[in-house]
Amino acid sequence: MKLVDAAQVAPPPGVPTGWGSLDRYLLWKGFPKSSLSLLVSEAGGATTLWIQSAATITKAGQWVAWINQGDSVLTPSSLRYKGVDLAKLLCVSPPLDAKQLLWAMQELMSLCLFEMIGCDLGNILLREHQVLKLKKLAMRYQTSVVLFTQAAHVHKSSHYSLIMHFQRDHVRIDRALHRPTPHILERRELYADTLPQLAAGRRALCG
Amino acid sequence: MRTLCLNLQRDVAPSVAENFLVFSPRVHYRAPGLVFMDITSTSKMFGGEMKLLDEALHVSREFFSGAVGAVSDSPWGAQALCADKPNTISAPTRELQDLESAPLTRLHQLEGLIAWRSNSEVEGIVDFFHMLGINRLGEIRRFEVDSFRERWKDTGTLIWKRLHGLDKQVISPLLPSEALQDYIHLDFPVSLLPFLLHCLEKSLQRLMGRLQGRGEYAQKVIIQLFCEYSGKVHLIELQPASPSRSLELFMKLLENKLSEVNLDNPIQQIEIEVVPCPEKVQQLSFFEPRVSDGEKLSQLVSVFNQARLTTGFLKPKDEILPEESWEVTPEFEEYEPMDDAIEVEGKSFQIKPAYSAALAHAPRPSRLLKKPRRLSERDLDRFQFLSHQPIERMEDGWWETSRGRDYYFALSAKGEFVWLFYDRIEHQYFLHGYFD
Repeated sequence: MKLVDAAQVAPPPGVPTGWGSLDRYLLWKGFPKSSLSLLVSEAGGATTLWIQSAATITKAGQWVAWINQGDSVLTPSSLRYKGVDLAKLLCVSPPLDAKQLLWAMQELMSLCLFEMIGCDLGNILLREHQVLKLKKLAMRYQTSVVLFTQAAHVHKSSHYSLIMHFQRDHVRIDRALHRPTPHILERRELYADTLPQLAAGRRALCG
Repeated sequence: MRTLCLNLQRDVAPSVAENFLVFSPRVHYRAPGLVFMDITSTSKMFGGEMKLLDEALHVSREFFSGAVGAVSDSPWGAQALCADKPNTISAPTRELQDLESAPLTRLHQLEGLIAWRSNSEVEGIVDFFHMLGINRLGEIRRFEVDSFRERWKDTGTLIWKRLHGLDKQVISPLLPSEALQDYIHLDFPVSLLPFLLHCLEKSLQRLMGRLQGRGEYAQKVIIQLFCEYSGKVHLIELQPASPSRSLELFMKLLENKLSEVNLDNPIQQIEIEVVPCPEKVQQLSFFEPRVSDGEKLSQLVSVFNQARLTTGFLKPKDEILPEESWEVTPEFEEYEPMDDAIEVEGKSFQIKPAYSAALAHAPRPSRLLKKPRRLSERDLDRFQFLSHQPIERMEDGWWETSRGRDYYFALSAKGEFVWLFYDRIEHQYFLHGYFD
């Protein structure tokens, strides 16, 4: 019997999300590197997951980038609370259209500096060939690209390595390499550290 | 004095001498295309004369492919050697011996910083010695100075002195004073972007080379493109986030800008002007890569800013209202939340509370709306409040915006975990963020 070298059967690299049950389930133990992930944040929770992942990366002295969309921004105090090093997080204002967004993504990736890039798609709908182009760039520059959308009926292209749907009560994993899908996770686990903050706030105000 | 002479093989503007200031502060340009540098005290910094010569040739050949050079004891000796044995070095005090075997026609190059008054006069001297059957420089050294003076007066005396190493020429320090400008005239007007970029690249490269020699950075590059018809002019300004002299960055900025310019009216003339600023002197670590992450980011921020994408680092601010408590800065600035201050005077003390330290632990949504969104009664019915009591109360100075806010957590119909507040002045609810 021919033995295979351990390096050949090692799982593909990933960026831990800090959500234990998700990381244990995924082959990459987090967001896949050199690949695309799509987070459909219908009921919220996707940004928190990305921030947790960004905290892991920035703590290791590596860089992450965030492309905004719409009228909301990442809150610096929330980022600091989650442990993100703001010196290693680059924020980009909302691009005008899909064309500028793709250009900005390409520029960010080609810098070979960012381990992970988060991008809120907002109302932008990417076409199949655009997703494929992004995937090729992510592979070439070995970057983990995480796209966010709130549109529940977005086209879930097969070029995404990981697709997660954040629903009212649970998070459904629709696509994950070498894992049975759909897979359901409890969404409340994501807010495990926010609820104590809420209680502390109430105590401070009401005694 | 050890002198490096570069023959660029082309007559160019005297400002080209600025490119070589990195090798020595004492640089002199003389037409046609000769650059002299006093490298007596600077060659050691480059690891010796050979390495300095290689570096100087490398810089020259970026613009002048046929450039040659030589190092010798005097400017005229280096010039003659440059013509006789290009890219060689004459060892100190060996200059005269090295030139002995050179043909007599090298007298034309034995001029150094100041050119011969008349070439025909030198030609006459060469012809005279040829008639005597003398063909090498070393052979005319045995004649007396009086013979040279009687026949060819001052020129004769000068040649004799140079052949005996008795003439001294001093290269003065070069103080760059010429404007950082360039002008291009295109015989065939251009309306294709790649051709235009190609034309501009060489010019920008020359200007960046001059900036490097001057120890300066470009704060701004102003380019005027003069069209062939109707006297139309396109004005393009390239301004990186921080001063730079990276050709790559400026070409990228230029390409982005030019892609927006309508080139139907072909470009015939181009004027480029660089607004310089002094270089920041910094101690570089031997172990750090020369192109740091900071430089890469600075370039990216410049490119994005040009495309009207605000890019930078989030910096928290000591403000009470959440929508005012941050800003985006192009370079990262360290932030330390202020703590409460206690002032003691005699037996009394006063506590001056600072909010930023407490805010660091206050619950904040991951996504904050830049402007709170007003909620109608109908909108409000869709939210399920998680508490009857507010989670946080904020009071800003009544003399400014007079805001009193009670913040609550709530769940939307879709299951979104939101942050909203009741404005006690306006008696109105606002949505302010998502725990997304």
